[in-house]
Amino acid sequence: MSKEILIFESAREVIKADKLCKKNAIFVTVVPLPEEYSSECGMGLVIEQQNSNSVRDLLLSHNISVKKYIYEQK
Amino acid sequence: MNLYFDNASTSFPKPSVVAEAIASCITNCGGTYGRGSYPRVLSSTSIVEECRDLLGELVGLDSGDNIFFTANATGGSNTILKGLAATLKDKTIYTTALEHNAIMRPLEFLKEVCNIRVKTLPSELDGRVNASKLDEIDGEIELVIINHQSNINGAIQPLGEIAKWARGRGTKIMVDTTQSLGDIPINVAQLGIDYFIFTGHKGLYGPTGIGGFYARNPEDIAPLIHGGTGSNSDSFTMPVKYPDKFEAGTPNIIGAAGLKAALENRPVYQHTKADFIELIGEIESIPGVTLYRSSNLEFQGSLFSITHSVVAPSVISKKLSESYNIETRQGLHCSPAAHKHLGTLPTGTVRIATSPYHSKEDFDILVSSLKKICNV
Repeated sequence: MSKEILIFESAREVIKADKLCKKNAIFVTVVPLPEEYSSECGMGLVIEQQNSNSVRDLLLSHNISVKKYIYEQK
Repeated sequence: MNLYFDNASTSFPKPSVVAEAIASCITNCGGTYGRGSYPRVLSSTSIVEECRDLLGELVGLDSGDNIFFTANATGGSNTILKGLAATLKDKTIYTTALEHNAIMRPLEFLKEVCNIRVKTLPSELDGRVNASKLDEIDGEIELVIINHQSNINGAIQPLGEIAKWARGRGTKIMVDTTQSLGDIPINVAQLGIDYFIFTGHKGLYGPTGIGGFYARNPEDIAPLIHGGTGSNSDSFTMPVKYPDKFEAGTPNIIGAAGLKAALENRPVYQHTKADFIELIGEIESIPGVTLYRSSNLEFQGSLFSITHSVVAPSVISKKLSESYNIETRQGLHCSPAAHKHLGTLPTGTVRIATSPYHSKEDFDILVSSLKKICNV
């Protein structure tokens, strides 16, 4: 299944996004960021591709900004 | 029995859950804040962020987004004031007559480096601002700084009136909540406060080593500390994203665990307001004692100070400790400006700072001990 990795600009944003998704029954996993993003806070959130739009809307509605979305085909 | 009356220096005892949370964190947590991605990092980071959000909730904010951690309130005041140096250059700042050195010393520094002018708001004898005279102040004022509750006489400032006046003239307002937060409700959003500083180890009953500040517009403040944040690590410049901009280095995760537990478990008072007012009355009536408090007990916090016409503050405090195991702090309490206004320079006062953990019986012991010491 295809996945997206969400990269945030701060660890606080990761925590907020993680808790918000879980509160809304959206499955997320905290993962190390890919090597090319090693300058970031170290944590990314992985979501199922199928949840991408709902996650984006959810985060936007709570003023949580995502720095980058990385698409991974599995 | 609780004879510790120095809660304005640091509160004691703490709720037992605070020690439990700290011990649990040291024993079980591991992982650092926001650096790495294994489960311990997530849980340690969550502790800090949950503490931040609880603080936001306490002061009526939607979240803790604009609350930043430092080691103490002094770290917060230095970050705000020095971070605003460019804005404050050549400008005028007003303070109350009862400011602590956590405010006065950074202002003294800013006088030297960016030529600020510091003036005092019109004040009553007890140091409370005379709000009816605020409109008599003319000229531009860049910032007003208010010590919400004095650490000398416990006087609570008319924050609502001052904030309304400041907002009406477009002046920013900064509040020192070091002595008040946890004891006196404050709604930052409703009052339109631009900045406040806080500490975790006094009225919040958390551990030492954690405090911080709030900024409504943090983009106006330059960071004080530059260092690693775990973010934008390929850059030599500080991130602009919050809280990282103001939180270089590893935060006090263990302190946040303790403070979080404290915020979730507020102490229950073992005495009533009437007991406290009776305490003030009984001490005030001891021959030779002058008691320093708000002139209106409606605006009185949980601490006050005393002097005696014959017995020096240092002697009173020493005898209270050695003869009666009663712990107080004497001297200037890092607030020479307040002592100057109250007329208690150079020897200062003995400060009595109560907590929810005092009973009426504890107050009675304090009164009888003071009577014996002052019976000269």
